Amino acid sequence: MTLELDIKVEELSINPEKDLNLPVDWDKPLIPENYSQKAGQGVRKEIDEQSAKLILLLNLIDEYERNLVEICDKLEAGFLQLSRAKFYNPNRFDSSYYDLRELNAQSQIKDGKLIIQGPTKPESKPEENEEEKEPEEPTLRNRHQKSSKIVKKVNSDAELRNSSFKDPIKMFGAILPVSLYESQAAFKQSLELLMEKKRLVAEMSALFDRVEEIEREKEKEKEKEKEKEKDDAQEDDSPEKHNERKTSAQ
Amino acid sequence: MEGLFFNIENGYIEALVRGYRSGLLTSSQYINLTQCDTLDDLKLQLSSTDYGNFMANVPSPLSTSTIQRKASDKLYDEFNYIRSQSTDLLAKFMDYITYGYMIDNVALMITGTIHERDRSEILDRCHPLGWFDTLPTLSVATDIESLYQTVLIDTPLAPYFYDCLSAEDLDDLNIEIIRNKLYKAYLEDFHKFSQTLPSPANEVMDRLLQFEGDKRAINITLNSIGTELTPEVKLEIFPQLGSLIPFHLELSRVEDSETLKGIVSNVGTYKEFFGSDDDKNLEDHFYQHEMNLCRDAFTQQFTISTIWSWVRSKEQEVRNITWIAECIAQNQKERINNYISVY
Repeated sequence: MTLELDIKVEELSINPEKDLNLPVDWDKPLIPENYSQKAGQGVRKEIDEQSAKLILLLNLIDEYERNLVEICDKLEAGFLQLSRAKFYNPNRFDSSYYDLRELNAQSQIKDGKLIIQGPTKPESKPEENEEEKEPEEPTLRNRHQKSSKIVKKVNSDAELRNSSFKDPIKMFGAILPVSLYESQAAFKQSLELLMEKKRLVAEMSALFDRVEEIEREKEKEKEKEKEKEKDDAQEDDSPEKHNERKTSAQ
Repeated sequence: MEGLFFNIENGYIEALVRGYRSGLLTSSQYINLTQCDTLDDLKLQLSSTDYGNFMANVPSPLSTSTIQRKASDKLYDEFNYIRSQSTDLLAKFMDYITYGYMIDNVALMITGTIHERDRSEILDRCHPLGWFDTLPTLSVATDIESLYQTVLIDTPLAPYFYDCLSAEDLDDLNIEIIRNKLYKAYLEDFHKFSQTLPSPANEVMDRLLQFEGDKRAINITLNSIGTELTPEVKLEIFPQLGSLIPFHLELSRVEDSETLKGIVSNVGTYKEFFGSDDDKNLEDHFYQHEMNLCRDAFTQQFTISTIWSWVRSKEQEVRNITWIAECIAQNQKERINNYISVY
């Protein structure tokens, strides 16, 4: 026995981005009622909420996979450029030069957004910082000396150092190869992508929960209908109903 | 005439160095290394070269840093062996080779102190060839003048500090400036000493050190674009060696790579570095040119310049092996052929 399926491709394929015009807020109904696809025949004119949410979930999964690929690419590029920097300058860019002093965080998450700090004008007062640090490290920091040519620059560098921003790459020195900066840039970009990944995971998770909730509601409704049918059937079989039918028939 | 008396004191050492040179990896051996799929394969391939069982006692899993460390240790052992056999002029020549590493160690110790690192941890990471007895005492770094007076004045680096004592605050930028000033003074002193060597060592070393001066000037220029280094500071750290001395003033004011290219193209040797269509960047071209000079240095006989050439060639070889190991570990086979091979 053969089963012939005469299904047009246009009936099956739906381009969510183009045809469904999905809004950003997925809590609201996504699909307008009486939607009809342009091509093909015999397509359902309405798409229920669950299907719309599933379509959106699939979109998010696709976006998530692309995001993962981008993260992998950026991390690979970062590590490769770091290896290249080490190729040009062995033993210069390893853990020997890590700065273990307290540093302000360069990247912060505020209101769900990633903020990467950049160089700012020195706002903090260098004198206060010096007074604080002097009892702790009286021998290492000695900024109250007279300045020479180089130390003129050092004073401006001291202000920069006392400001809230310090580029961590400078712990390896001041004259650094381009590949090291490229490595840093790749890792920073991967940080933004990781934030995006986190957002996608949260959205997918919530969407999936909603789809399951809709599924549970549908099952409950089905059960209610079944029970109602049962009750109706029982009522029909009751003696009172039987007599009513007999009376009406007569 | 140098051939008549050279072998009396330095014949054995030159023979040793030429033996080491013949053990340097060739292009075909590098190709075998690039075809390895894992670091264990790489270790197996290296065991059939001059490296032998240099990682016999290293358990799996291997890491690229272990491979680099073990390969470097082999170089240091060979260098120390040659050094222990050397006398007179050759001994002083080999001491000069170690001064460069001493400068790196001094900078590392001072940086480690400022970065609040554990002293023993930093000492373990110092370059073995740049070790000197008073190196551990550098961890009491306060300012450069007291460092000089208490520690560095008794080291071979003392003469190189004359221009560095004005800087009174030790931070990352100043340490970098001090490092470069020391290296500049060292390079110029080394060049001056090498010119007292008998021919052909003086000619070969002149060629190599002049190129080193140019390389440092261009690297400083390129890598300091967009940093806090002023043109005056850059002029102070450019070595007074090489073909680019007439262009130092212009180089100190360079603010982008195109201007640098325009200036450096005035020197015929370096013109082709910028014009090539291959994937190599400027640093790759420099290393390639340096390796060509080192390879050509071995064509001269009865000269101690072969030791310098061998050391630089061997260091490049260790960098190549480390790069290949990194590409294997990171599964980046498309970049694995970016090494320098001239033998």
